[in-house]
Amino acid sequence: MKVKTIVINNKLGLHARAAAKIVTLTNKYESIIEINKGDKCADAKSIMKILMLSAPKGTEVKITASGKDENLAIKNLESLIKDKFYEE
Amino acid sequence: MKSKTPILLKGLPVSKGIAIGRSYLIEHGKNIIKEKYIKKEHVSRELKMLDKSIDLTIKEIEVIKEKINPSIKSNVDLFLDTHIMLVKDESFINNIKSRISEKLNSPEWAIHNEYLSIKQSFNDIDDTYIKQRIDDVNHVVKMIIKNLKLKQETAASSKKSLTDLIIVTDDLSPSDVVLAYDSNSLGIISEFGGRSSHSSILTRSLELPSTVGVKNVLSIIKNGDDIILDGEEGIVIINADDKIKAHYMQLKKKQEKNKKDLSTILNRSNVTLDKTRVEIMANLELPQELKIIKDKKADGIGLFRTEYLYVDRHDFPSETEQYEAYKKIVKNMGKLPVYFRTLDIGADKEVPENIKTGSIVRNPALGLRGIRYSLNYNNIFINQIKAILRVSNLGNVKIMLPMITTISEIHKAKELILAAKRSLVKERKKFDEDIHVGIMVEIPSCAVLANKFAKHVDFFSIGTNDLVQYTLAIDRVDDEVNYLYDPINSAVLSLLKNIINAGTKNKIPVSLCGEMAGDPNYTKLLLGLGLRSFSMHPSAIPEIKNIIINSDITMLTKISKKIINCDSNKEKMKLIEKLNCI
Repeated sequence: MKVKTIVINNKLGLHARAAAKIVTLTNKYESIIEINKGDKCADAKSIMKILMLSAPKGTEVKITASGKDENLAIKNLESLIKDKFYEE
Repeated sequence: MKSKTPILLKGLPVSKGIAIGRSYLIEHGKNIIKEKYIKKEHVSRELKMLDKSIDLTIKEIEVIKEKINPSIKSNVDLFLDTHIMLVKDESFINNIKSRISEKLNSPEWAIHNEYLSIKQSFNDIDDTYIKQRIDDVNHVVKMIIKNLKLKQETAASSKKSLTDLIIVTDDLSPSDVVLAYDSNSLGIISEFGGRSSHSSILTRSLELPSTVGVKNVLSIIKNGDDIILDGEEGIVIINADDKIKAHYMQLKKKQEKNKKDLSTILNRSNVTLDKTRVEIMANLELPQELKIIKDKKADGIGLFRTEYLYVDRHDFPSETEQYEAYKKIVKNMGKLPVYFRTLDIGADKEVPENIKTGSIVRNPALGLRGIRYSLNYNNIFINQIKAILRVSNLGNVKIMLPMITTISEIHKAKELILAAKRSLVKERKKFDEDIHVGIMVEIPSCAVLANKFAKHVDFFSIGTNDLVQYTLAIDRVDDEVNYLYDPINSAVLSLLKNIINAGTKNKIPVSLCGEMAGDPNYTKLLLGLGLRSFSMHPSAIPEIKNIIINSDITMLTKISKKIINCDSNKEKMKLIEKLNCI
């Protein structure tokens, strides 16, 4: 299992569009991917769960991936969040 | 028959245009879903129905996607994609299914319960923006339930019945808007909603008259009522008498005629009757205005107000953030010029609303703003210049410095621009080496000595709003003196003439981007004074363009001169009236 801790840094946090981008990305991988905030955990392949996690700007989250393609999955998810979801 | 009293309702104006017709109520409702259970042997049948309606919903959203106007596609697609993802969301669907198979909920009741439980967790969210996303879930849920009920007999039948009707609804979803548009309905009124919701953006882009946030509209308007909707004012009138009706009929005709006349004008080139080419550009305040700027076929963006990136936040936008935002606009404009006005904060945005004469307040209009602010906070300025330089390679980009008082300010700013260029060279980033740097002429010291200032810059852009206020020493925000605000005061006009002449003499272009440029009363006067480039709010373009291409400048020069030299205000008004009739 791969684990990374990262801060949500885009202006609006994990809002609908950002969550949609995460889901589009994570569904490309076989691994189980999760986003954790404190003691709450969300399936990163479910837009509803990500939204319900409620992670505004400045939230620290832990992302985990476990499975065959966990390395690639975690790497790309990390850069998506770091690059602020390529928003303007 | 006794006629009923007219009733007037007020909502938020969302999309302009007038609709006159009968109402058609679409109630999505809140409590219409009844608690209902199914028999165990029907579980698999009900699950199949659910799957069908989910498929139908996805297809429906995809159909909407195809119909979206390409110019707003990228904006709208993203939220439609979000809706599709929500419908396909496995945890959401599985929860509904287990409510059906285990708790024997009817599909509607299961969806409703699942929605309530999602809503409950959204209620606990602190972040207001994310909290509002429950609306998206709500839309999706409504669509699935609707499809469960209607199943196959949807679009075709409802399509016919909406023609020439004004839709009155509780809450507007984007799919309602597209349905209304497709079925040729006249307009939309909704009880809830805001001006910047996805649905409202859609009504505007589809030019469907609409007002939202009309309180209790569903309990006041009945199906088939005669109503009038004025989307520009956000007004709904029920039981209008003949007089009111005639008034709106006429207004509607006038608006339609204007729109038609003016839209053909937009396709003509900006040349006056005497074959002089005049530049008509647009001012841009928010990136959302790009579409209308393109629609109005503007010659460029004569004033790109960059402040929107800086307000409503605690930190400053990074170079990259600015670069990404600017890139979109510059690329969109292609070869047409984009005049970037560097940051101009510090003025009216800080003015408290309750300024009254008598109390001692600082006057921010005369304070640290525009280039003064930028020269005081070099880093913020250089950051912005670097972002502008980086997009200069992608189109036709110019740098415009606001609030220039002295020539030395120009030199100081140019030094900082040079520093920004050097730092980009170091970072191996490309930019237009010969980027034009010009100034806003809006302070009398600069206007009086325009001929000297012209030797140090590549262009002038006249900011009349500030020029008028500084020349006449009046605070525009102050209600008690703003009657003195007068753009045709002779001192102001002679400064305008001086600036335009200085431009001609030094062979640099002069444009005017204040409110005066978009005021049809002054178009001929400005042409007569020698102005050949206007930049205005995009919605003003059709009317101003119409005046420009029907003007013969050779006939305007003499009277314009007379107007500058005219001492009596009454006489001046008469002359302007005369000028506008030529």
